[in-house]
Amino acid sequence: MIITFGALAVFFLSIVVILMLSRIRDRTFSDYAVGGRSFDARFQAMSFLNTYFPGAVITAFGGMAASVGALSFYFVTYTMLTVVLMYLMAKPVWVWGKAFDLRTQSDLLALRFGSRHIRPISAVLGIVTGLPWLIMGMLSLGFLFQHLSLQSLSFETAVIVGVAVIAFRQIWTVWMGMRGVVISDMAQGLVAYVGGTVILVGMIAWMVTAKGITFSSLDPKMLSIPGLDSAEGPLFVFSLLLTGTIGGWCWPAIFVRLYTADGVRSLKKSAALAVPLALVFATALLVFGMLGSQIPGVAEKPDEVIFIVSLEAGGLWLLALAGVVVMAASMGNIDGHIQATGAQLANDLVGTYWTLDHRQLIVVAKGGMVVLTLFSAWLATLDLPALFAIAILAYQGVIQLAVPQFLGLFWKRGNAVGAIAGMSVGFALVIVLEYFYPMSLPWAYGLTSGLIALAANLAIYVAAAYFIPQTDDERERVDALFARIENVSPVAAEAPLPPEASATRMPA
Amino acid sequence: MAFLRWGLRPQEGDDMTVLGRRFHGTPLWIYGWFVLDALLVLTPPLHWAITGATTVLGVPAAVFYFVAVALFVCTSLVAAYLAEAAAGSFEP
Repeated sequence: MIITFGALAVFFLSIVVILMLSRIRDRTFSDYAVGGRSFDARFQAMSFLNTYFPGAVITAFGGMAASVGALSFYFVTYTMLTVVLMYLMAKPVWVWGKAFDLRTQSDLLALRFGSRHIRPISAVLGIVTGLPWLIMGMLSLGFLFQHLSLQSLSFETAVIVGVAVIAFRQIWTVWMGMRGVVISDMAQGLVAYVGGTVILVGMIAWMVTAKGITFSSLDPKMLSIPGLDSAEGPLFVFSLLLTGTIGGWCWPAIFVRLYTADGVRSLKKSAALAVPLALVFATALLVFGMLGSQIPGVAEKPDEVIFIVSLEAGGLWLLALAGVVVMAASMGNIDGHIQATGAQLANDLVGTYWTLDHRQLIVVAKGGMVVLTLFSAWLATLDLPALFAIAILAYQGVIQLAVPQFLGLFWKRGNAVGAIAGMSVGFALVIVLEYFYPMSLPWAYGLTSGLIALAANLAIYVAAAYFIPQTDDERERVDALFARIENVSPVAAEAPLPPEASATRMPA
Repeated sequence: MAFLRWGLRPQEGDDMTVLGRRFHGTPLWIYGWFVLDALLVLTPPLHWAITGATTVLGVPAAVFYFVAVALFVCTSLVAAYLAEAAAGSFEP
């Protein structure tokens, strides 16, 4: 245990030292919430990866590859396509973010639709749907600490220890805000995805050469995916891919990364830098999971494949390194999530209805982050048998933000009534469908509740766009917003914020 | 909508080829590649075609499809950035 917990302690201390040396001092709430829009493409790329690939992805998708096989590779494909959406969104989101000092996803919706009420509604939707994933991230640390203790801790005790460690880590997240999150993401990301890829490829090589495990060793059922006549329905794979693609940028913690870049060029370059690493890492993880299914003990506990195989392949040292990789990935996601949610609590909930100065907003955000950390840590220690089902439901819910978010960015029509009504009806429909048809809809050919609700959401948005005419003032305002994207050259966009473009000038 | 209107109308005084045209600074062919990305990822008949335990180059057909398409999308993103940088989209 000295080796395994020692490696974890060294890694943890290294991250703390890096943060302390970075000497972060935030002067405004924008500094605190979006890191002063100051990060280059390398930081952006690693920051995106560290939020998008949490430790729970390593355990959950590694486990999915070990249990169902080839279908798990849909994760690689939709991850790439969701970055295409980021590439397309980069310019409008960043230009509006800079010009109007936007700090959250809900800020963007409030600006686009000229409504302050859409801000708390979308924020609540994002916070509520994100909470189960935050708890799942904390729970994945239970697997980590149980294995690093060489099974001497019970799972319940391991969860409590893991939650305590990650809650302790949040001291620096609360203190240093987004700048601290992005700086630590670089170090954590290098360990998790560069180091993680090396370890995964090494273990794949060990399984192929020392154990003789190849794809042909696997059960044929693991090589196939649900098709035209499958029980899941002919559109099941399509649903998984589409939900994953549009869902990626609906999570507030991921969306806010679009504001932290120092310009449109950095955002687009970060996409080009992140995708090759994401492709290699995710492919290595899933190949590893599939082949790892043949190692004794994995079939019974597929989610723990990385710990079981690393111990078998390289003993305590390799188990320690695998533990550090999972910890690094978990840290990046959990601290990013807590930071973004704290900013939303201050900016989108409290700040919408009370006028707060920068210092007060930072205080409220920090207080919210402390409360969220303690609340989710407490929930993670409870017995929540339906948590994974709730987390799946959350994904169906959060994609309801996609309609106003994407159409709002690329279509001048659309209004606050359609956006709010569409999101609300969509989210309610997800809950109703999941209540009556938990996990799958037998009559929907494999479509998920989220996609059915998304169609209703879209219909309401488009109908409102055509049936509720825009006023001349509103049309002029929206035209001016889009003109700003079309007319602003990248260099002008990256110039210092003009004085008239403070947050108070935002139509809300 | 603006993109479609722009793409379909003749561009007077514009001596650029279709491949050289840009929308919001991004070359038009990049948008075409992105559309192809979406079609390859999201077309259900392609998913139905790769069911079963057949292999391609020793790899399960489904795994080959998912990874090959992911590589195609990945390449489009790298190409998009390089093309925009080369076309001066990020310059004043």
